[in-house]
Amino acid sequence: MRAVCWFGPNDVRVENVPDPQIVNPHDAVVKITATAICGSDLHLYDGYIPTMRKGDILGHEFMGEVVDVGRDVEKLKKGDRVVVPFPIACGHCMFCEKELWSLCDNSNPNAWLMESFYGYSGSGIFGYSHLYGGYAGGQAEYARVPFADVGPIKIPNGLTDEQVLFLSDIFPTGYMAAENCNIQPGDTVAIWGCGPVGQFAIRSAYMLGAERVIAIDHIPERLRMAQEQGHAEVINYEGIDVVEVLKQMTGGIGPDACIDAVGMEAHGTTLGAINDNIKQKMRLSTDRPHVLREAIQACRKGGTVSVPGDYGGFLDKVPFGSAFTKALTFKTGQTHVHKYLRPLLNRVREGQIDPSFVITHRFNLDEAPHGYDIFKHKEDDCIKVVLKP
Amino acid sequence: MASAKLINRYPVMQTVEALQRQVETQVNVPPPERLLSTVGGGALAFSGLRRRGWSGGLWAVLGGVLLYRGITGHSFMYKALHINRAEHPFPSINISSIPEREGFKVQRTLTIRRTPQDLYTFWRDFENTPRYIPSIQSVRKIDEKRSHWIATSPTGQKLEWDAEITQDQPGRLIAWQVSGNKAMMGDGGRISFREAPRQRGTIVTLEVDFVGHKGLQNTLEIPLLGRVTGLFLESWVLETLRRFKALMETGEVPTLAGQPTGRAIKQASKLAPAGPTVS
Repeated sequence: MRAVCWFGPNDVRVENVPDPQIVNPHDAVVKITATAICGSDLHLYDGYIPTMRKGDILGHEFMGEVVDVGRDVEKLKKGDRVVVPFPIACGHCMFCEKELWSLCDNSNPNAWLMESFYGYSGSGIFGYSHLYGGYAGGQAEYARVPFADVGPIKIPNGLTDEQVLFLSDIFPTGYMAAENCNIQPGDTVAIWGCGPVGQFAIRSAYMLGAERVIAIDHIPERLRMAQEQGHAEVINYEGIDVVEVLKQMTGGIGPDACIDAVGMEAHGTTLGAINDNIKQKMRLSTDRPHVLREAIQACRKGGTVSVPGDYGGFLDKVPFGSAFTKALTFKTGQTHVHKYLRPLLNRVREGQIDPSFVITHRFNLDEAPHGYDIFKHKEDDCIKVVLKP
Repeated sequence: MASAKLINRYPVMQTVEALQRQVETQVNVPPPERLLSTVGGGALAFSGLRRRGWSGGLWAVLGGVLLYRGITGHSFMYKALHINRAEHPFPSINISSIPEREGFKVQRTLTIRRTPQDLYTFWRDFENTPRYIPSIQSVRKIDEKRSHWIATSPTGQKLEWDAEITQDQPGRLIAWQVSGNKAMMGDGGRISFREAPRQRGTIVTLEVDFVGHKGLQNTLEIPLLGRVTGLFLESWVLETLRRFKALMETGEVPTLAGQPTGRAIKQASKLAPAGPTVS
């Protein structure tokens, strides 16, 4: 089969590789009909995530048709149309039981590696380096899906692939980020990052009852999408003091909740942001916390900072004194996608939201390298790339 | 210790005696490390003095510090870090000594979401072991207490040994002893099952004994090298427990065997045998 493989920073190629097989009794093999490139894939593309090996197959947002099931799979059968969540969860460990699916104990064969970094290991993830298990990803024609009874959700007739594909990652990610804000009536939510996750966070914040949503970015087409389609108030951060502007916009209180939908490769035009960039290029630091700093400074007293991610290493100069004195709550983590699949599928079925709004480019699988390129450089008004094998 | 007569005749000996006593109570470097420190420090000091000049002086000073450390057994750095490696020479709290048998043991603990009885029953049937320790090829029951084991070492060598159960408390504890010296890992061990609070399952502790391996034990007491060695030993115990946990909680062990990749491969890699599920 053909698959998008990583060969180094800025080097992805579509190669011919063997088809995946059933290996464990709870596996299924899915023939992929649609898959997407995620913002976090860009961290891999840029070379910031360690433990990648040449030839690793990328991709963690995918859906398709079940073509084979292991002998202990009960809920799926050949022919079922499913969307596959990006974290792999066993369904039986303490964390799966608590619905903390992205913290599964039993799905990371390289748990020892993540433990050496972080103390304890989270779940495996499709196509996201050997730290997260080394599983072959879904930017391919087929994928092996472990614990097939636990993850994949069956899609009813009447919905197109593009309407449901994003249940795999970005819609639940934006939704969980908004849910973590503990939104009360009258609340203002500020969201840094108008990429796909930010766009879904905007929609979700309104769904969950926010009075106002303020979205921050600097790319014109993304700000436009946030404003015209998401109905958010937008700020172009270039050259302005975002914290002060937010203070003015919220009557001197500050946003009730702040969502960092940007993560470790934050861009900015302030001195602090430039300093972060230099340090990271010199490998003196691992992550660029510019957005996190702003979110902490901007958040009102007693508010919540919600971090859908992505961070990998250590942060320099984070104003924890501000966080402490203002009594902020932090909610973080990889999305517990499984928890949101059914409720969000229902919202799509009821017509409350059509997630396909975020797609700007549709390519064949073979054009993936071009897709990565324009997504990274934000060319051609690129916001979200969907690939069809 | 100088004899009483010498101390009385030469008062300076009293000072030396007092100094010695002062320093000895603060011995915080274990013997293997002291030996290394003395030998290394001596060599360094010697070569530094021969070289002369600033760099030579630096080596000499460094060598002198190491020499002092080795001879007196006292390290100022360890004192500042509140570490006493003479009393606790092993690189991790998971490795401890078995004083009465001149050995050490490596232990790790995990919590598994099954009842103690279920876990005990599965582990007690040693013929199940290849399903969570991949290097074990087969285990054959000889009688109620004894079993014969065949394994392949990481270097591809075939290993065979017999194991005998020395303690057997259903649902609580299994202890075993290995005979012969061609065992995979350790000379014996035990696994204990304790009910975890609040319906979290069972707290399982696996201990592996190493008796009479003086070289290995000394290696563990050396800084850096000891840490790396300790990590290997601990990791073997931990990964065994981890695979056991995955098998007992989900019926399978997570694996990447046989999955596709863009690396140039000669043939599809061998599939791991899926095996029958655990009920």
